[in-house]
Amino acid sequence: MTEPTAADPVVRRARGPRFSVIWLVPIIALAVSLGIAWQTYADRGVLIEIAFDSASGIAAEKTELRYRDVTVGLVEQVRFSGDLSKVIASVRINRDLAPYLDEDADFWVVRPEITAQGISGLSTVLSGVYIVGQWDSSPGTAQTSFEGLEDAPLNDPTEEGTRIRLTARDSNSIVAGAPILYKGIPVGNVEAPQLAESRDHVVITGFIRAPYDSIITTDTRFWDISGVSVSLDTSGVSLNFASLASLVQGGVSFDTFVAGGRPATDAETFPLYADESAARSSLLSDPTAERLRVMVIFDGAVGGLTEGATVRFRGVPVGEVDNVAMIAADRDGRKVVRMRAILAISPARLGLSEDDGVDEAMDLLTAYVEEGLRVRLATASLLSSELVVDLVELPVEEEAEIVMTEMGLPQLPTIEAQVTDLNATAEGVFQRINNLPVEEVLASIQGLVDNASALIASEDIRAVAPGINATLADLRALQPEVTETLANFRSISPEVNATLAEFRTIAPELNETLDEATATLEEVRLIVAGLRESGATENINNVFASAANAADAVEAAAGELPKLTARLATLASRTEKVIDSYGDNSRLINGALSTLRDVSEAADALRSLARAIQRNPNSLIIGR
Amino acid sequence: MTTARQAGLIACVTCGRVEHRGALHCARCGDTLPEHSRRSLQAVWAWLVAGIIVYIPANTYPMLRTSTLLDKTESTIVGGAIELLQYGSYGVAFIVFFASIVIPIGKFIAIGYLALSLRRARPDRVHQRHVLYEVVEFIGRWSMIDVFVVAILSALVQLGSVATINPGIAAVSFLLSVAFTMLSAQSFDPKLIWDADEEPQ
Repeated sequence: MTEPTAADPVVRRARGPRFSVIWLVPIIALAVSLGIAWQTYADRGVLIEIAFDSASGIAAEKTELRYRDVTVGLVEQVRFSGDLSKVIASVRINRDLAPYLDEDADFWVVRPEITAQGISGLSTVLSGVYIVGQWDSSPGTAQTSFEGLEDAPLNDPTEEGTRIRLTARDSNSIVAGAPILYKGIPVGNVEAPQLAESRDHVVITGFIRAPYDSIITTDTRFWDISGVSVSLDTSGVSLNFASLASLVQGGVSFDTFVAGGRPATDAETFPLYADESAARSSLLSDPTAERLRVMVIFDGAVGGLTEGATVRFRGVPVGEVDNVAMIAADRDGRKVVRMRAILAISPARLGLSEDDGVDEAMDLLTAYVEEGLRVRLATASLLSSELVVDLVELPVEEEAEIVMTEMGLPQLPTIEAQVTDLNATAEGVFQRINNLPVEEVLASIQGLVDNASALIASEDIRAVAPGINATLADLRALQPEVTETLANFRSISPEVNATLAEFRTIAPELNETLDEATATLEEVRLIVAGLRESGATENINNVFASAANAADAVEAAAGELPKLTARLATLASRTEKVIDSYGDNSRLINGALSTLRDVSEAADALRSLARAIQRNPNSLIIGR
Repeated sequence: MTTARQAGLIACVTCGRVEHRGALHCARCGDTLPEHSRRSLQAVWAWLVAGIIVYIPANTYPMLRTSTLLDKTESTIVGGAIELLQYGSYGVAFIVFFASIVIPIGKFIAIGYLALSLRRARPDRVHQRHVLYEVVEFIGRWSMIDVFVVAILSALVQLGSVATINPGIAAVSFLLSVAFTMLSAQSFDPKLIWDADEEPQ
C-alpha cells in the first residue's frame, strides 16, 4: 500500500489582512452597546426635589409624576429634609420638560377626595397616589427644588381666563373652591376669602375660564348664591337656592345686565352683592363712582331703618342709607335723642350724566328742596316693617333749605313719616276687629254646642239608636223581599186585570141570581099568604105540592148557591191574594179591596142564607 | 504514527481532498481550507469579545417589561432571579440563575482559558481541555433557555391592559451574547489543542 500522496498544492500566497474582518463584530457590538448606554444616559431625566409636608402614599420607584395626565417622571427616592420637617421626594423627570420647571411650577399629590362638587381622584384608589405637576408653557429659569402644595390649586395657571377680585362685607358661606356660575353653568371658581388690609371687608379672588370671561365687563354684577334664601313679599313666597354644591360651599353668580361696559381687565375688582335683586337694583349705579352723602334727622321712630335701606326719589331707587345712628340734640332747651341717617345718593341715578359729580347733584337737590322736596320715611311694603327713605315733593308749606352741619354733611329737611299714617290705619282696622261681638258669638256658639251635646247625651236619643239600627237592619233584610214583591207585582198585574174583567162579567149574573132569589121569596110569601087566607083543605095539597115544587125550586136554587158562593169565595181569595201583593197603598186597590170585601160579605150572607134554607127549608114558609 | 500535520498535509473539510499545507483553497471543490494557525484564533477572540460586550447590557437593562392593571415593572435577569427567590420558587430561580449567569460566564472563562492555553509551548492536560471544549459546545445552546422563556411569555401574556409582558433590550442583548459565544466556541478548532503538541519541527 502506497503512502497517500497529497495532491499538487495550489499554493497561493496567503495575503489578506493581518487582522480578520471578524473583529468588526465586537467593534460593532461595542459601538451599539455604547450607543445604547449613551442614549439611556441622555434620556435619563433631570432629578428634581419636591418637598411635601407629608409623604401621604408616595413610594419610591412607584409613584409617578404626571403632567396633563401623562406620566413624565418617577419618584426615585423619598427622604426627609435636614430638620425632619419635610418629606422630600426626588423625582426623575423627562429631560425635555426640565426647562419649563421654573418658579411657576406647582406640584401636589392627588388622593381620592369627596367634596360637595363631586368625587375626584378615584383612580388613585387602585393605582396609588401620584404627583401632579403643573406649569405654564413658557420656559423659564429651570429649578430643581420645589415646594409641593398640600392641595390641588383651584385654578390651572395655564388655563385661559380672567381673574377677578370680589369685595364683600363678609365671606358669608363662600369657601375656597366655590363655583362661579353664569346662568347656572359653572364657569370658574373662587379661592379662599381673605380679609382686606383695611379689615372691614373681605376680598375673594376668583377665576373665570375662557371663553366665559369675555362676558365680564365693568358693568357686570356679582352676587352671592350661597345657601337658601326665602323671601316673602307682595309677589308671594319664593325659595331660592342655586345648586346643592352652592348650598354646601357657597357660590357666586354673575350677569351683565346692560351692555356698554368696557371689558374687564385682569384682577378687576367688583362688589359682591347679597342677592340677585340687590345686584339688579344696583345696576344703574356705579359702585366705584363718587356718591353724594347727605344727612337727615328723623324725630319719629325709625325702627325699621337699616343700613343699606333704599333711598327713593319718585319711587326710583337713587341711593342707600349708609349709616344710622342716634344723636343727642338740644331742642327747646332740653336734650332729646334723635335719629340721624346718612344717605348716599348716586348722581348718575338722579339723571345726571357721568361727567357730573357730587357738586352737580348737590345743586340739583338744593333746587328741588326749594321747590318742596322733603325727606320722609315710608314702609317698603305692607308686609314688612322695613323702612325706606323717600324723597318726596310736596306743596311748599314752610320754607326749608339744605343746611350744612358741623360734620361737613348737608342736611336735608324732613317731614313726618308716612309710617304713622299707615300705623293709624292699621290701628283702626284692628279696632274694628276688636269691636266685633266675638265674645257674644262665641258664647252663643258655646250654648249651641252645649245643647247639642246634652241632646246627644240624653237617654232617649241613646235608646233610639238601637231601634234605628234594628229598623235599618230590617229594612236591609226587607230589601230583597221588596224587590221580589215588585217582581211578583209585575208578573201578577195582567192576572189582576183578567180577574177584574172576570169579576165584571160575573156581577150581572150575581145580580140575576139575587133577583131570582128575591122573586122566589116573594112568590113563597104570596103562596103562604094565599094559604093563610084561603084555609081551604082542598087546595092544601095543591098548595103543598106547589110549595114542594117551590121548595124544590128553592132547593135547586139553594143547591146552586154554594157553588156560586164557592166561586165567589175563590174569586175573592184570588183577588185578595192579588190585592195583597199590590200592597195597601193605591186607591184603586183600596177600592177593589172594599168591593171585594162587599162581595165577600155578600157571599157570606148568601152562604148563611143557603145554609139556613138547607137546614130549615120551612123557615121559608114560616117566615123565620 | 505520523499525523497529517506532521506530514505537512491538510484536508478539505468539505470534500475530504488532501492538500499540502499552505494551500488556501481546495483544488477540487474550491472551498476555503481551514487555517490551522494561530490566526484562526482571531475569530474565537473576536466572537468572545463581542459576546462579553453585549453581555453587559443584557444584565443591566430590563429583560422583561411586565405591565399589569395596577403596576408596571421592569426586571433584569438577576433581579428576576432574586424576585423568584423571594417568591419561594427556588428551583426556577436556580435554573434562571444557572442558565443566565453561571453558564454564560463559565463559557467566557472556558473559551478564554482554552484560547489562552494554546499559547503555551508545551501544554499539558490535553484531554481535559478537549473535554472542556466538548462541554462548552454542548452546553452553549442551553443558555438560550432564558431567551426562550422571554419569547414564550411575551407571546402568551398579551392581555391588553390587564397584563402584558414585553421583552426588553436585555433580551436581544442576551440572545446576541449567547449567539456570539456559540460562534466563538464553533470557531475554536479543537485540533489546535492537539496541534500544539505536534508542531512540525
